Amino acid sequence: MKWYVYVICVVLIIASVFCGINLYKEIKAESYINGQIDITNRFSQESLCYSATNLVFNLDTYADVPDTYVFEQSLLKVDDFNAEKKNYQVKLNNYILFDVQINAGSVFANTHIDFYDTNGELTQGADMKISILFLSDKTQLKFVVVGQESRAFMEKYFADNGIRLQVIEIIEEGVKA
Amino acid sequence: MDLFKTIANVCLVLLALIAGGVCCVYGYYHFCVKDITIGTNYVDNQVGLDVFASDDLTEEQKHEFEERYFMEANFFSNDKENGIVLQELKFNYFTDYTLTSNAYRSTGMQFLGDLKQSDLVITKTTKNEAQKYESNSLSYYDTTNGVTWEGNKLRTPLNRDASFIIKIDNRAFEIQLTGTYEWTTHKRSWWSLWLYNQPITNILYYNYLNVFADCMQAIRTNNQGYGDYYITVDLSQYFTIREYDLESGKFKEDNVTDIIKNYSVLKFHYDENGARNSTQSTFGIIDCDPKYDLIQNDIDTTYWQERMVYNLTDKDFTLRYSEVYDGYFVSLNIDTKKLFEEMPRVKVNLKIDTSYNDKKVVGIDYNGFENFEIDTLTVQGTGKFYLLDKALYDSKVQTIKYSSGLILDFGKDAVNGEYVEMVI
Repeated sequence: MKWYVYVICVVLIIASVFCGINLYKEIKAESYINGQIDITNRFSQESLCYSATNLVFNLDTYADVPDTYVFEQSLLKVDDFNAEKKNYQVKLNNYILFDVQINAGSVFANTHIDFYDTNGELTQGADMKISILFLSDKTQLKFVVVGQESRAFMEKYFADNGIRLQVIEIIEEGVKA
Repeated sequence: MDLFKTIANVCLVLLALIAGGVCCVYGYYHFCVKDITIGTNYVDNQVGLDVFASDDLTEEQKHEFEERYFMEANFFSNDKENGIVLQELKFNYFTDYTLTSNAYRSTGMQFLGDLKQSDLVITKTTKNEAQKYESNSLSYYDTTNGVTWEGNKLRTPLNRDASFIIKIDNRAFEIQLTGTYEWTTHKRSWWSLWLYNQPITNILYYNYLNVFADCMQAIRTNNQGYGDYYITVDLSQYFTIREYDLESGKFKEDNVTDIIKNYSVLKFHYDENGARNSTQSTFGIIDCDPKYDLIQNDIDTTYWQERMVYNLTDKDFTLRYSEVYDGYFVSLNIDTKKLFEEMPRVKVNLKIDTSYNDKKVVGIDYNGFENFEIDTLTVQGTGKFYLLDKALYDSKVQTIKYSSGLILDFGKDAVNGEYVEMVI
């Protein structure tokens, strides 16, 4: 045989190894699915539970009272809030709020926090209004403070302690978070 | 010898013929027969494998740790014009294939302004230029614990060389930005007397700025509007995902599947407000300044302790009718006292009106507020107001205020300790 016949044979054999491997891979190849995504349960929740590590108030330029600062947040829809049929309590951090007006689909609460200096003297008192509207597609949360000092102290308080706001259903045996 | 040579030659030729056949079969299968295969990778929650397996964690802690998505974004649109436009995107991943929480790492990028894909110039880049490219218009931050962030040179660079380990189906995968965008331009060739337009293929190697701009566009156009939501984005044009092979200890490339689709959850916060303070940032830093604040805060907010103030009124009390006194006595029921015992650092003020819902309130009942800490008691109305035995015993009441038309009648040990009386 001529020398170039050997070369052709060797090239063909090498090429067939490559083609064979790829042919095997392609024949064996199957469609596949790795993992799954389910975020359907991320668009509503059973009860309201808002938590954050801090809170920043913005100046409300449309407010009737000057120097009003608000924090607004749209949250997930709460599935079955109905104060006409159920009883609820509102909890801010570890405090159960008493000055609360609970309507069929809304909650309004007033809070007051006093701040003391290292001598035990009252430095600042701050009022904060909380409103929660349970809408058909989302929940709207709003905190309102009036006055720069109140804003500054409340922001410091939440930066130090974080915020955990819960609307908890009261059932006969206890409470359901 | 010749015989052996002849046999060897025949074998070689036969082998070559078979090899040729294999090549033909492959060519036929590849170009004429081959079925399409589609691979789909879903990138969901990136919580460490040990978090849900841990017995040390309470259900509440597991709930707290349950969310950690590969991509999380924060977008302050400043539509209310009360701050600055802030866009942030962070990638949560693992540093090794054990996929445990001690291998957590997050790297993020921050843009001060409203970056859109249309703002990015499409220019041809070489692969080498693109591999290490990081945009100067972004700030980058890094964390290993999700709490403390730093933005220096020790962070993970977000360029095409970076590859991250992520969790899919509790298995380790590698994800890397490898996507390109190709387009064709034409150039008139002198050798064809400028009659022929020679096609030239241009390649843009995507960088993280492109991913960033597309994620922000996805948030901007989400149908839920402002709030905290989740969307699933298609990352197929940008990222390549490779599975970790336990046997070989390598991440294997999928070069067989015809179409590979990569989807990921993008968790985001989209705000109508502008960013005002660095605490609103995912990284706690804006423009590399952890104390960034648009409002010059010259108010000294230093304090030692805070107290939640409760103003309890008649509606919060238990009423008991007394025929002897012809009126109602107020007290606090045990459940309410218990509630306050569980709440730290509260300051309680009582305000009693002698006329409540057409009921005549004549005083505080026996042991009505005993052992219940009170700051100020205010009584409004006229006539006689009785504080029966131990009504405010051990209540540490500081101030008692009452209307000028009221006469307080103290029973035995009604109050102990010092307090201030004030007529209002």
